[in-house]
Amino acid sequence: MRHLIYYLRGYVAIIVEGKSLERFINMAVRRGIKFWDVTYLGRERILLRVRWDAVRALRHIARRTASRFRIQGKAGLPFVFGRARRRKALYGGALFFLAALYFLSLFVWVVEVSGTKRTEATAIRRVAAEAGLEPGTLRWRIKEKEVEQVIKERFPAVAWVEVEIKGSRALVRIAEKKLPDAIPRTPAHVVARRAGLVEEVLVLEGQPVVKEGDTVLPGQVLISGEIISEAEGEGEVAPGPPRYTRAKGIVRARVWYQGYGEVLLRERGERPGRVARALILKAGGREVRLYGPGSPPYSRCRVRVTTKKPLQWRNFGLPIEIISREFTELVPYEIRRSRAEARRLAEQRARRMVHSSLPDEKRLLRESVEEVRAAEPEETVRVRLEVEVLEDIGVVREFKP
Amino acid sequence: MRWRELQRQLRRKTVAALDLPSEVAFNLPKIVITGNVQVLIENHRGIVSYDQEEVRLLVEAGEVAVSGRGLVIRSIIPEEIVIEGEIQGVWFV
Repeated sequence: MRHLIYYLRGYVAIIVEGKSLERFINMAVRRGIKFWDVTYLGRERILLRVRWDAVRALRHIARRTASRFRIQGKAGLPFVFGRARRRKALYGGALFFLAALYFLSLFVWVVEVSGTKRTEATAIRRVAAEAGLEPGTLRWRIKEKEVEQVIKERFPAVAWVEVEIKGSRALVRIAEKKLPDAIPRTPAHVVARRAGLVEEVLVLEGQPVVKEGDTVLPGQVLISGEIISEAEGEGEVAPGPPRYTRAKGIVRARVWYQGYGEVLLRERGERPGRVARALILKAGGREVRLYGPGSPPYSRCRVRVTTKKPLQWRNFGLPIEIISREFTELVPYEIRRSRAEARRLAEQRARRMVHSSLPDEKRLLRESVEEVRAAEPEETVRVRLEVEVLEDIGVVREFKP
Repeated sequence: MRWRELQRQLRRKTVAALDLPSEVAFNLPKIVITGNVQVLIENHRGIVSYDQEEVRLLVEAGEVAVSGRGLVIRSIIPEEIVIEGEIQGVWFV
């Protein structure tokens, strides 16, 4: 603690020489000059430390006690500043840098908008700029509450907005209201997506065209959006003008899907094995192999070649190419399966094929698996899968009346 | 002279009555020795001599000599002196 104060005020280490050093010390001490770390250096020579503004008084005392002293070293903040005064450019530059940094930190440089889904972030940024929040504004000039208010007024879809200034970034966080999608008003039919046998018709809007038990083809109108008002009572009167509406309803139908899978009892093929890479530097017409094999290292392999041209700029560039060759070994394999195993696998394949085309909402009614047998025994197991599903086959299709 | 004698007597009695520490009442040196590394002397009157082996100080009752090896005056102000080093003895001379 005391040393810190000494450092802040600055002190000097001095070497005093003379015959009556004790008198020198006593006289100085009586005048209130404080010494510390007084070290005996030899005959009539001592080293001591003293506050640097006491040096002038010490000169006077030295004259009266017939001793001499010289300053051996200086330490402390005042001397640091003194040095700084001599190296103006360096310390001035550092100071300028700090000042510039501080000055630049007074501004907002980035406006970030988050949370937007339907509204454009750029539009919000534009409105915020009108309200006084844009890159290059002084931070204390920005009134967050005001910007929030303006954004809320200008965008009715915005439910909540918060403007927060973090350093030189301004964050605009937005939560949008969940608005229901606009319902289109153009007239439409409900048509069949797939062929099937109609099981159930539930009309919410429109006029049903099919009834339970009907077989429908893809694209066939199920619920019509064209309502022809039937004249009541008098059969002779011509039907009135048709009314158009957007048909709505559920048409559940039985739909059949078919899948097929086949598996060989003895399967042969090649699978990738080990990999070896070679790097080749091509300069001019010469090729230099940097590392890796020069020729394919495996008896059967696949080669992939990629070429890179480093240091290319527009039309200029070094006539150097780096070619990388990747050799992938191909290992032959053979799998033998029992008939039951093969059949299970074939079924699996068939089922995967069917399920990829099934809709999400359905009810499985029936599933039948059938092995297809050829006239003469062969080395393949073939399976046919038939799935019967109850699903909503209606899709909305707009039409022009 | 008689007046001086009386004054001293009175002071001694007051000190005894009030239980004052004598270094305050009679300006006697108070010496604190910490191990064999530091000697703190309050109420000194200045340095008589100083080198690495011995520091002699003027005090009220005469002189105090601190002997040792590699003695350094850590700090010195009018009332107090701190001597550090390898202390071997403190003598009244």
